[in-house]
Amino acid sequence: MFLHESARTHAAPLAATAAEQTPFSALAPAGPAAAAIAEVWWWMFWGSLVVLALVCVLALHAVLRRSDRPVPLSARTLILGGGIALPLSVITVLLFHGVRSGDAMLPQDVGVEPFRVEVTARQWWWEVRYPDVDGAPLFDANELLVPAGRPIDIVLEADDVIHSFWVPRLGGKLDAIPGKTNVLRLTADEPGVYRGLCAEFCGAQHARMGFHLLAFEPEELEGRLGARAEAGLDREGAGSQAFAQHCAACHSADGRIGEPAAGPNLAAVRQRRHLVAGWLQNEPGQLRRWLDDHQTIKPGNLMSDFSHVDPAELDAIAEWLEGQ
Amino acid sequence: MTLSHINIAELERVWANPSGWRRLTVVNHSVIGKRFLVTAMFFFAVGGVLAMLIRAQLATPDSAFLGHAAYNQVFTMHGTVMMFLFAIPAIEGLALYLLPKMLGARDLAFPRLSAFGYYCYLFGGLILLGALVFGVAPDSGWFMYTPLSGAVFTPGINADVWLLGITFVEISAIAIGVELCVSILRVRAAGMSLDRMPLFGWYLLITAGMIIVGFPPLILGSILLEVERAFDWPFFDPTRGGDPLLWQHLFWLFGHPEVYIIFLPAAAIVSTLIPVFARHAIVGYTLLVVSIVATGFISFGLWVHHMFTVGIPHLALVFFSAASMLVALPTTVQVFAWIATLYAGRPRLSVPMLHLFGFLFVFVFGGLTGVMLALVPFNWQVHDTHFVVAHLHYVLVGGFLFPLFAGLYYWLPHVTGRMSSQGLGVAAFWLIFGGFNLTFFGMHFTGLLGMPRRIYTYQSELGWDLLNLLSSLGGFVMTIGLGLLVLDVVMHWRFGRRVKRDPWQAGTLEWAQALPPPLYNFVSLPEVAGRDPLWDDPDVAAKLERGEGRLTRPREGWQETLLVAPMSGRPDGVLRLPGPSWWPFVAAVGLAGFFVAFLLGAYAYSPLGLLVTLWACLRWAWDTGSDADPDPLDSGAGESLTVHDVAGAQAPGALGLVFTLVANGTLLASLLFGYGFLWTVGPDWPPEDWMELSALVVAGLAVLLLPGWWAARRAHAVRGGDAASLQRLLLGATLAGVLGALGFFLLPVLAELAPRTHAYDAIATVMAGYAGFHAALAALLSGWAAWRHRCGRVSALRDLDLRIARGFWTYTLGTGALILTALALPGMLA
Repeated sequence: MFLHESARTHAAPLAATAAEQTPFSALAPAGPAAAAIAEVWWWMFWGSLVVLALVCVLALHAVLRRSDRPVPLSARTLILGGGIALPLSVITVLLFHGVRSGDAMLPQDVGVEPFRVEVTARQWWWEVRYPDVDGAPLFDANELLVPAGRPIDIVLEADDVIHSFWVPRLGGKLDAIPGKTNVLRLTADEPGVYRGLCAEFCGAQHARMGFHLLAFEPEELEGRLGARAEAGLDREGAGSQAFAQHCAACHSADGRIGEPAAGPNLAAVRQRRHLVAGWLQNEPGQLRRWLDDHQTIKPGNLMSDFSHVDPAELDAIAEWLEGQ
Repeated sequence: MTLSHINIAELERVWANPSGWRRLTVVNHSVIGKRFLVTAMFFFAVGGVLAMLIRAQLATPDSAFLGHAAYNQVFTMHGTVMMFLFAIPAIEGLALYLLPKMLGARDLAFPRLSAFGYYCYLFGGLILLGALVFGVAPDSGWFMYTPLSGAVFTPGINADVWLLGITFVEISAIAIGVELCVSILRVRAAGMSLDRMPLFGWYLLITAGMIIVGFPPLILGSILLEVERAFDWPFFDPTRGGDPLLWQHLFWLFGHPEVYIIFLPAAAIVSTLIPVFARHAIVGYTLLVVSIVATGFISFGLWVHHMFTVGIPHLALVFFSAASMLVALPTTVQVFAWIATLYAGRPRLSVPMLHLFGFLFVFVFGGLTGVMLALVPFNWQVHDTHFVVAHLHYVLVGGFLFPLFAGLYYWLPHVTGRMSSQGLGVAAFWLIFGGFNLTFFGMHFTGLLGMPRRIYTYQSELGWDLLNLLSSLGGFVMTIGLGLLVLDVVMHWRFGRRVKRDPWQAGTLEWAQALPPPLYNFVSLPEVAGRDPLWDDPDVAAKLERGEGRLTRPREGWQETLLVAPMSGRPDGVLRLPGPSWWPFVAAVGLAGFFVAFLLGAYAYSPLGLLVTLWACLRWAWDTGSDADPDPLDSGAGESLTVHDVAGAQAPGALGLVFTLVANGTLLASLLFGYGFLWTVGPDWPPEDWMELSALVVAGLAVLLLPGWWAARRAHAVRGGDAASLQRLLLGATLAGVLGALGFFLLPVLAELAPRTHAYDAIATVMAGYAGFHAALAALLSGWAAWRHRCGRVSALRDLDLRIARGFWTYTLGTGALILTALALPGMLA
């Protein structure tokens, strides 16, 4: 789809290949937080292998050595050196590093106004709100459109159970907890498509609760958010009427109106890369298939059954939504 | 020689166990220990099958093998079964079986309590297993986070099965915890001071203490969540003043110590086996004891590291990050002490040693990834991914399963009197070890590549396919290894070479027994002068067999063992043991009735089960003691010892009360923590009204409790004097308890609390209920003491009933005052 192409042209070619093969990899960082963590991981990984080898070699040597040979290290040296000095020094270094780098990842004043997106997690999709854009708030679902190269503050809430918001290539995760508001600071260095998912077990379809974070150059972002704001306003025809009759109890089809929010806001659904919380590519016909088979595609999802509705009406609904 | 034979026949008769249906009355520690172990192994197989289902499902992307509903039950039950129905009971079984033998005693302090613990475990486990069979097993994860596990999002009985079944099993664990603490401190060989006690005893003492303090927070959490589910009291509902994070705190307050509760006994096995196979006493005994105690303490300060991503203040993160890393210190000290012991001795290889090497490799790597996880920014990335799945399996399989298998091969000859083979055991080890690493090493990277935990399906082309396939292959290799291990054990049972005694040339007392060991353990009880009695004196076994020890002759058909002073190991009494009894079984059946009735929503009938339990407990308590003061006994080592089963401060029951109240106090502390937590950080606080506690009400309740406490104290003080005044005091205490209970129960009604409307009303009602319940129990114990006194079961010497009433009244008064203060505080500050 068109979004895909434009996003890819901006990203560095090599990183794009690696990231395409492992789109959720914390080891293919695309932002400062994830980069810092990936770096410390490799240090810790090789370091831990060295320590493991040391312990195993010592233990094997202790057992397999010839017992008439003198022991190379006294018990005191072993226990005080290996048991106390070694871990204490490693811990001190790690802790110092952890406090410093962790502090830098928190949402605090860095001299640049962060771009704010509000996200409410629901079983099993993400409501997205832009509180600061023109004509705000603007409602969307399962896709976050953000600027590249500028800090993003994701203001997290949950409406039912606990979820967790995670974009591995950009940084760590943060839980969305009912009754609590958490703020996650992320930065995407380059424009691109970054996949995210729910990391906290949240019931039947925890596995299919993904989302996409699309980072754009600031000018392009403005245009895209504008296009989304203008969608969903064509209220003529059979599709619109059928939508009002069958869908509007749970879904809003206007990007400016948040309620009802039992299901995702469908205003600009045609402009989205994916349907079903990041699970299906948004191609013509998919929406119609969803209306028929949604319990097969995402078993246990909370949408009502529409098999009793005249297929012609469902056709009209899908056509109308895809025409927005 | 002849004398000895007569003694042995008499011992056999006194310690014989009944057969047929009356097997349910058996309380002997060897039998109960073996029952625990066999049941735990059965549940290990169940958990293993569940693990295979998980790996079958995740082997390929878009798998159609299990649906989400089945998968969520399977992974929830895998964790639950392995933690609660396998690991902890296996530890308990091993401890129950081995400790008296290792400490040179004939049984534990409260054999009936062990039997009760076993039936609670069995019935609780069967509730969970039944739910699995009927397809209504828990499916909200073994951590049961609210609101997902609440009535709105899990409307069926699945979550109730977990909350009730696990609470049942935890009651079992606390019973065994009290049993082990008291037994380790009081029921040892003469001369076995604490600094001569085998390290195994130290490890289990700390473990049992951790169970006593670590399990109550989860029991409280489970009670609150079950009450929320059943009666809609909103402890965890953020729209009515509750907080889902309170559940997480209570769960991990238990959950993290739990990891060390599992690891420490495994380390106990390692510390016991290493010296035997190194043929050298353990190096750094004192430092190891310090490490064990330090682990116990630090492990209660790390629970928040399971919650680094919930959004808590950075300073708190730094504290818990530091504590989480610091706990590595006592563990590395142990690892290097083991290596130092190997260097100091002349090690030999064997199947147990192979498993110890497996342990070292796997556990050390798990510990290292644990330190990584304590690094907060790294934790933010990998938390709730397969990296953590890999880490926890390295820690638990490395830190528990391999040592357990080492222990299995080491102690099998002790149980069966037969040696196992070499070939099959070695092959099984390598398959388990190789299969394990194939399953879980790559899984660290699956997590780093972004695969979260607890998803039942995933799309292809995310870079996860190959790693998952390898993990599944490894899982099946490991299963084949486990199958071979089982085959090896069965074969050894049938064909193993017979051994009479001590095949490993070990130093601890359990190997002084004839194999397989008799139910009375030792013909006569040993006196020890060092840490490794069999190395200090190779003749110990023969001497004990010849009756050259204490309590050789059973008197009046009593099962006897020695009581010692906790620190010095100086003999200070004889403990008469109860022998077979129906009451532990009946008490557990009553509890099962209560839990099942609650599970089925028959709330009105559930108290019937509790009444059965109460009745059984009273009959049980009635059987304890005697109608006349026992004469002091000649121990056979030139000293005269008092029979202390119900007499004086030395009665094990007195110490048992202390540990029980510690567990109980931890439950109350957790409740007060919850109250303070909601008050300070709960959403939607303060409530519309604080409870109005007038000074009059507070004073009135105090007026009721104080005289009860005073009367119970006074009753103990005048126990040798006038019987009528003793009766008056005890009945007065009973009356005060009844009135106090009524007062506390009425408090929420008078204050017009509406527990369904706000978490404050709910938790305040629970606090008042707690105080009322304890006042009622104090009344019951006072009345019981009066009745026992009237029937001649209490005397100036046999004063345990009076001591228990007194101790319980002190607890009731103290906690009642604490609860009143806590309830009055907000009103006073407002």
